[in-house]
Amino acid sequence: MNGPFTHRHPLDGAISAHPGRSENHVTVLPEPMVLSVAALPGEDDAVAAALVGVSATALKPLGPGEWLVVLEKADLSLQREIVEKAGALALVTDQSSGRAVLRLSGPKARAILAKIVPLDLHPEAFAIGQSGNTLFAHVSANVGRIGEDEFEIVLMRSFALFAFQELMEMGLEFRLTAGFAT
Amino acid sequence: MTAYRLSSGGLVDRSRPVSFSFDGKSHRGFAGDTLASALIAEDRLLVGRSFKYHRPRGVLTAGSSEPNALLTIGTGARAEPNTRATVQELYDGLVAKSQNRWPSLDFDIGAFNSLLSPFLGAGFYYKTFMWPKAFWEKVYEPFIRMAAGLGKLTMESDPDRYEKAWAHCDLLVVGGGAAGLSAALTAGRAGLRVILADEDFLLGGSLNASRAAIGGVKAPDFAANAVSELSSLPNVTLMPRTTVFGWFDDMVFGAAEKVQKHVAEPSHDRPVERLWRIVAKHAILATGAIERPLVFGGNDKPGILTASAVSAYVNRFGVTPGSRVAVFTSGGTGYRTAHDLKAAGIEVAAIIDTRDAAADRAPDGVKVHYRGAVVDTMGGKRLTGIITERSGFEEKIGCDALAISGGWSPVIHLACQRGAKPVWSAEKQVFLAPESDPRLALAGAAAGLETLGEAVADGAAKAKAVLSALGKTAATADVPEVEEQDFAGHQPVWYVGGARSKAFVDYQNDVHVKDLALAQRENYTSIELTKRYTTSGMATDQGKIANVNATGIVASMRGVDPAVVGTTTFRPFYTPVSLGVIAGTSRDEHGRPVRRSPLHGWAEKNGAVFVEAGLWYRSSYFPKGEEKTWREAAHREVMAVRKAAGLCDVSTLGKIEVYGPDAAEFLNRLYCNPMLKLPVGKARYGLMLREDAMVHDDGTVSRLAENHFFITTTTAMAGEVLSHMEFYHQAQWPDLKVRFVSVSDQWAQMAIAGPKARAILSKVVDADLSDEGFPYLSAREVRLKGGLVARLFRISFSGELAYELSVPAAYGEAVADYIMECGAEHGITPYGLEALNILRIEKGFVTHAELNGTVTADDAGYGKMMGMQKPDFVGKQMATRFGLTAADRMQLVGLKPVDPKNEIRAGAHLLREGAEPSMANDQGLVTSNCISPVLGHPIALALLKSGRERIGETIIVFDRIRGDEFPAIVCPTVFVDPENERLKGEAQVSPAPKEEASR
Repeated sequence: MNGPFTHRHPLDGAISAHPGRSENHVTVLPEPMVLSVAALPGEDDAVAAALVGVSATALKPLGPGEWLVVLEKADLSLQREIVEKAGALALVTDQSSGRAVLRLSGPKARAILAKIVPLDLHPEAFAIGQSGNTLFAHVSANVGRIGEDEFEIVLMRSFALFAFQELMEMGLEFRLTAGFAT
Repeated sequence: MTAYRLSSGGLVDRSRPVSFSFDGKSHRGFAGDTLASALIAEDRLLVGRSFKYHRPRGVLTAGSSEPNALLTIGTGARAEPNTRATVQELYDGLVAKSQNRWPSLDFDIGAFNSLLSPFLGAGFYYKTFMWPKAFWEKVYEPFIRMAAGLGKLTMESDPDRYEKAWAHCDLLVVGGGAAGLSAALTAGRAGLRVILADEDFLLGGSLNASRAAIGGVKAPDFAANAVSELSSLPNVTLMPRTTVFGWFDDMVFGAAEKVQKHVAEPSHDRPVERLWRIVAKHAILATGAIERPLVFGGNDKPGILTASAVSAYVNRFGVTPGSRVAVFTSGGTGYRTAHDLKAAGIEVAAIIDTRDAAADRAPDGVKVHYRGAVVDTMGGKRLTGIITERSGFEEKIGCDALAISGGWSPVIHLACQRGAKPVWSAEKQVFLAPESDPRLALAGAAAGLETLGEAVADGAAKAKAVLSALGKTAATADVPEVEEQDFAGHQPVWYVGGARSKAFVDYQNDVHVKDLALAQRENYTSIELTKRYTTSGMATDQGKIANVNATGIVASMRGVDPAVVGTTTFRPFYTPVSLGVIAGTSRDEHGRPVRRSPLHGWAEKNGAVFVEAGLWYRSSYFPKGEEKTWREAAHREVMAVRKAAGLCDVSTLGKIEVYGPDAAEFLNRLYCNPMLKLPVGKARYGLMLREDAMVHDDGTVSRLAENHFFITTTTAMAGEVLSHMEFYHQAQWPDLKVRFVSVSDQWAQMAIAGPKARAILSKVVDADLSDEGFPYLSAREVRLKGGLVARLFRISFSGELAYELSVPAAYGEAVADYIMECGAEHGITPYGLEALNILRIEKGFVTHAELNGTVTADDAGYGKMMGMQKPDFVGKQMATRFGLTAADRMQLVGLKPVDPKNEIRAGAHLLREGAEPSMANDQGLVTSNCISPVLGHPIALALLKSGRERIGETIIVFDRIRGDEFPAIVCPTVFVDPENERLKGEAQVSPAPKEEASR
């Protein structure tokens, strides 16, 4: 459907510098689906209701009446459903190309992230399903907990390489590795 | 090793010898030593030369307040000057060098300064090096800098890594001594998230130097047991080697952790230091107290140490600074040290006590001299004796070390860093921190308590208060019993009279009592002025040792109470922090975040030279073959666009989707030109003003559907425009049903410009691109061949037939590659920022070089664009004010030099012919310039007073910095194709320019 055009990930070429899979690992989603949903004033509840089909870890509230839906890969039926239910009440924007999605997992995931984000990531303060827009090594990102020792990081495409390099440097002492999800 | 290393005792590991070098000579110590304790064990008392007089100096303390023992540690790029030997953990292969001496530490020519010292008092430099002014920077400063000073920085790049990290806790305990451990135990056992940080590599503080017993075990064992219990608690984090250096807003504490400063070859996998931002709900400062030296004649000889330092060296490190040690004290501390010495089998020469009498008991056989004073000392590189005086009776006492104690100053620095002023306690004769925030408490010696027992109980009590503030209850654990010999407090003696030689107050900056006196005589009586005038308290130790003595002495000199004099201001950092750890990873290429366009790979392939534009790396030009300068490449690129076609990456533009039934109304108010009636499928240039009517930004507005717009901003203002929109939506027009989201990263955007642009794009885009099918200013979603959904805009920033094509960023590189392939036969050329700039100057298009925040729409030549018939838009009210419509405002014009060899350069000012260059005669300035490849001569855009009335006038371009002064002609801003014929593309270009034809 995209003709002769190959899909390029912003971390193409950078990820091979961190081969293997140690217990602390960054899984990069090669072609995630990222939708931003921003409700028109007064339509927050109606739009929230239209998003019930999205799982708790995939739905990231960004602010009043504003969400990010992050899925491992394109789910056109979910996208259609959201547009059908919320399209008139909200600005639904495809940001799949504009974001890089990384999943950091392992026993030292929290220790690594503590060197990059100012959020308190203690499970009591940041439970599974919680997420936040935050500073990530000087750039903005959305960080969410998607498992006990697993965090999802949503980066702007233009900053992805810089942020990835910072993340990998902070993981050096824990032998952090990285690879695309297969 | 020498006899100064005791045969047993201390917490050093005698089974692990460690070798190190000092000034090229190799030495041995033990694991657990500091560099200072190892040097003392090696009979190496002289470790440095003083700042001003180059006096021989030895170790004074056993902690971070050390003013004398500043050494350079490490070699080559890792050499770190001014490291305090008293906190430097000893490691195998450590290389230390003394500083501020030449040719050697033992024989230092600079000591000649001591002979000149009558002339070198406080204020000497201010008074002497005043005249002539021309000598200030060229002669005096280099000379003074060479003569004075501490260690020298290496000029090599730091090979090591540094990190920053955040930590969060319920309770931060600063200091791991008796009070700190006790507080951490109480809070940790009750389940709080506790962080305990201490600058030492061994937690325990003064417990490790104490012979007391706590809870039935020796004090160091009590500390070790507490540490082991704390490390077993999952909710407690212990951070040794970590100095909490500052208390900042919102209960954030800054701390520097030395991760690998105790190894010769740090592992690259870990940082050498880590900067912590600790966010704490509560904090307890258990930072202890610093022992003050006594201020007496000759008090700076190597071999004179504070009493607590002597106890620490003997008890913790198993070394002694002397074999026959005298004690000079104003209170009980000196007696405790005398007992410590005696217990280690070291001879105590005498105790000289400044008090009339004392309940303190001296060790058996040690003579006490009450009402005593030391008035001078003997010896050069090591003390050989002291001269005491009592009521006119002088006595010489032979000794090779002297333990001095002038009492204790609580370490209240952190608590007073945010404006709280220390309060003088007449009862305790110390400065205490006032309560300034209920979330911060001081405990133990930092709160002015004197005994170990009080400190242990206070730590627990302060932790219990935190527990109840957080709604938790303490587990019932008894506060352990402390068995310790009682010693009385101190009766401060700020200055010991009768000094025969210099009595130093600030050792590190060589400030002695007479300097303080001079400052009072010359009316620098405020303690802040005394400090600046004498430099007392201004060295790297920030007066930890000196300040309270200085206050006491100045109070005595002025005949007032220390409470009247007060203290100087406490500021971060508590101890020096390396610049490396403050920078963290923000160095070299990562000095700032790097922002990359989705076409970065395309640009690289095509040989782009990149330029930093904000955080972006943008392609600047694409040199080919023999081209040596940017200009050669850019001129070729410009001509390719004018004659065939070029492709330029414009992905860095800000891109915002605007949606909602009120979207058109919203944009109509936001832009100064009308937007309500923009037809669906059309784009329009949009000019945004600020409330003060100055131009904020410009870009394009495209209507994709009735309620759906897509706007672009300039690269630099992308974030600001979004904030601007948020502000007006949230604060001014919350009733408008509109929502907007940045999609800057989602779309790769490229300009395809030039007469061949249509022919090339026709091969790529699945749409009718003819003038009928896709006229100028069309804006539509299209499909590329193969089905990829894209957005196409027929807009031009070059004056040529041009399109901007947006595709999802992930496909940007592939699409650009494909366009290059399709355009090869038409001569398509990649062009960069430099060519883009020349193309737009030739056409008189503006950027933020012109829209510099002082320019109105009318100044820029866009006055008629403002929709004054609109009910309102941002900037409308101000736009009509007289000052902003005055005829003599600076207006945008073009400039051509009279002599085409003269290049007009941006930044140059404009003058009337014959006018003297002056602010009053200033007519304007050049904003942008280039050499036009089309015209073959320099051109420029400029802001000129009443510029539009002055077309044809000759004006002087004046630039004193670059030596330019030549005439230029004021002309219209559009240099190439003023009739915009070329926008239509190849087929429509008139054979001759219309302007000429009509004349």
